[in-house]
Amino acid sequence: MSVSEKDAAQVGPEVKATPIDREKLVRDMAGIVGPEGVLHKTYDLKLYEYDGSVDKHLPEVVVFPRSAEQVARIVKYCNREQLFYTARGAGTGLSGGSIPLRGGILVAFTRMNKILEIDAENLRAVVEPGLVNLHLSQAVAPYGLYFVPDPSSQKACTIGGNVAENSGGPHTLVYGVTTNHVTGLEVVTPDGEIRHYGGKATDAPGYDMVGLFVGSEGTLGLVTKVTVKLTPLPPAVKTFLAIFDSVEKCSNAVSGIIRNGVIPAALEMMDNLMIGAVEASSHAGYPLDAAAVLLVECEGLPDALEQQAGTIEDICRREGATQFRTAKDAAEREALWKGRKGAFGAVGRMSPDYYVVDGVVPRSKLPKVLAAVGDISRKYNLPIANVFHAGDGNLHPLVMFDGNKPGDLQKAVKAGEDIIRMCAEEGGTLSGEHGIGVEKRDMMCFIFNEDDLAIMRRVRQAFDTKGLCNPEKVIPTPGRCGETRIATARKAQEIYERDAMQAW
Amino acid sequence: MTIQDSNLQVMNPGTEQAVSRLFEEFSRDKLKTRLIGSGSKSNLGNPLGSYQRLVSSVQLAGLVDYQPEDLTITVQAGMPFAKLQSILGEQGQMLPLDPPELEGQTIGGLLATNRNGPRRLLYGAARDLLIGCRFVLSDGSIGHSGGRVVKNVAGYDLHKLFIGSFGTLGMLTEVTFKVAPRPQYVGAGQAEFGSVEQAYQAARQCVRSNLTPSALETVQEDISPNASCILLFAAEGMRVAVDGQLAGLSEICRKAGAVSTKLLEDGPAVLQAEANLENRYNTLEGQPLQIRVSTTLTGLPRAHALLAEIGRAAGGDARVVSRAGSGITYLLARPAPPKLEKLAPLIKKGREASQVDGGSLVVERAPVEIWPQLDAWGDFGDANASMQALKNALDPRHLLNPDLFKL
Repeated sequence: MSVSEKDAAQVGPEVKATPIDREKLVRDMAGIVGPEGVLHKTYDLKLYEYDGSVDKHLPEVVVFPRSAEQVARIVKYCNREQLFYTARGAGTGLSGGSIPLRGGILVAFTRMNKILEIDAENLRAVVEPGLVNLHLSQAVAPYGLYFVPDPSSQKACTIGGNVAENSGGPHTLVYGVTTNHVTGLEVVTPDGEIRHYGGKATDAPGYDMVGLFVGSEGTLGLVTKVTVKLTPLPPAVKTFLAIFDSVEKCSNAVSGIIRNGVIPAALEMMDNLMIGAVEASSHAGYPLDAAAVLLVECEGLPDALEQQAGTIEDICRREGATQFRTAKDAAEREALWKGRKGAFGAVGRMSPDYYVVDGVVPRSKLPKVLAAVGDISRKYNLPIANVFHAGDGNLHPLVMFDGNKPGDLQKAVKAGEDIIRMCAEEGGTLSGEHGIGVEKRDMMCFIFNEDDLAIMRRVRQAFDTKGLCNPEKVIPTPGRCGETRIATARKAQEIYERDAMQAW
Repeated sequence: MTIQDSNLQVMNPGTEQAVSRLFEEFSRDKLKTRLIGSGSKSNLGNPLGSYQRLVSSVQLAGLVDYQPEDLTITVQAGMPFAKLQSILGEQGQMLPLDPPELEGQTIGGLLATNRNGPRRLLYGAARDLLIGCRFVLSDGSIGHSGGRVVKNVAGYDLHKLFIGSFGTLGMLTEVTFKVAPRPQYVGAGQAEFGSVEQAYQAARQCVRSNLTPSALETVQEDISPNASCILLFAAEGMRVAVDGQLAGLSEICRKAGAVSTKLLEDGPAVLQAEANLENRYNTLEGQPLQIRVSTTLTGLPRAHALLAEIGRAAGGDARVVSRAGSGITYLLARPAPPKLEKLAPLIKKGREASQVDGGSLVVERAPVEIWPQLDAWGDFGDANASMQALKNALDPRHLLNPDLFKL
């Protein structure tokens, strides 16, 4: 029998949820992190049952460790007692990565939020995983440095969460995403041991454990310390808007810019629906009558900057840009970015609910794929606003729906799935930066076959031998792939029913 | 070299399926297997343990997919690196990896040994450029990770594990890179400093400045104490911008105490010659000693001194060269035979001193007499158990490139 058949037959260690003695659990956890570091009342737990995605599940208890040693003791305890555990940063994730799908212990890193060291001379900082992304860039700004990955949630999301999801952001086009900016990790592996991968230096001998852990969505262990690369702030920045009267022309311009090789620091696109939402909430100065805009940022030495901006302007005009507006000062620039980064929230003001999709396609496919997103919007009769990292082909269609309308959520989820499936078919992928989590777990078979998944499962089991660490995330259970469509629809129905119950 | 020495016939599967069938058979019979590309770098790292089969990727050399407008390319792993660059060159693009040139070396071999060169300062190393791969594990199972888009978080980044794995986890069959447009112009210059410390200090100032050098290399040809040191710098992009960058870099060097600075003709050739330095020592007749220390930027002067000390003890021709913006320094030497027994203890001492801040000392090439006393990589610290778990998961019978990694 082939390897995949073998794997399908042995689903790995059978994990049983032991009946939990809540009082004992709370007492034991308090013994490790102190009574002030444990939440166990249903009222409190409710705040930790969800993240930025649509799924929910209550943990038995939330614990707030303050050190790697405490994390190691928690993990060892889970091993002894056969308890599931899941790590959580700020809970801003969009794919359900921090939801304790099978209950157990939720390890919240919000109290491990210190900057341990800023080593400006070596362009490194050592931080705890609960540190808020933006706080790092603010702390190192006086040294003329910053941390490149800048997810839109950077005011709240944590570095540990960024490591788990391999987060991106608008400014990762040239300098790369989280994995390109992490050089070392301290990790508590599922055997409860504290281990060190990499450090301030690069090119550690042996296997690239840092490369494997970044983006593993908390399924291989819990990160307790992160060594990050810092980058000198650019000497000059130029931000401008190219305005288009059709989405197609705008996406052609993106393709043209990439093909030309003059890659700017950021290249973001918004369509008319999105512009309307952003303007309604932030008055950033986007033109309401445009079919689409490109927000472009170039950085570098002033001379080179002007030349690069000029080339990009030429390409945009050639592709039919009707207008070109340059932010004249820092305030205008900040307003534009505030609008862009607040885009998801802005849609929240327009529509009772929205579902964020995170597909990626080869950049030359953008015009085709955006047209198809329009078709999907019409098919389900749900408005879809587009705001995305055009430069890397990373789409973020926001499907608007009303969760109180029967059937709307299911339609939204199906529309999202249609978009993701199309991205996969066009040679792209399921997620550019939001992660697979539980949301897209059963869509993994759009791009991975059973053999691929069996190998990923082997890697996971090499670390998480007992199957307790962030269960049911990222990799679908064997044989699940054929049933995706049904499974997703059913999940949506369950969520809908549960929400309806709670509304009562 | 070793390939001809071996009595084994080289097997050259022409498809991924053929690799899979071979591996399945070897796995059943528990046959240890050596994996190679063209064999151009087979003297890197620990000598292999005994093996019964020899498989090369050179017949897996095709172009799979190239989308110049997307700046991505997918090729089979046995394609010669030079061929890949010439395909990209026709479209005005390049894979921005500049390893030492070796006749026939394959993409797969470059990745397995994680080679790079001076321009990694600007473009990063292989881990920053490889976005997906297909591979065959020792039991014959075929898998893939990543994809053909530049941003992708679906599934584990297994492709990163193959970089620097020296073929101990599986055989790469297909790889996808993000590529870059060729710069309009590459310019280089150099500054001479009275001391090594000054050269590194200047390099650090260049890194922290507004400028974006594509390479910063210190070269010390005379490693006697208190000898002078060269800092080579380069910049690339549009001509005007490059000229400005080089002027700025020269200025920083002068302020940092450079004895002299000058611009060099033919930047690309200067950089390639710098990348190729190790080839001068890595020749058939001589037995090279090539040691790499990874450290922080501020740790470089000390690492440099350490390597210089080993180089002096080795006698013969030796120099110390550093990627001064990336925290990597190399000793390139051809030791005098009688000195060999003194070297192992010195190298071990240097290794201990290097293992701070995630730093390491790797013996990349060494005379055969030294290997029984030394491991190429040293121990992996408390990461060892994780690496062992990975090896056991992906190559459970430890069949591939036996004993290269002591796991």
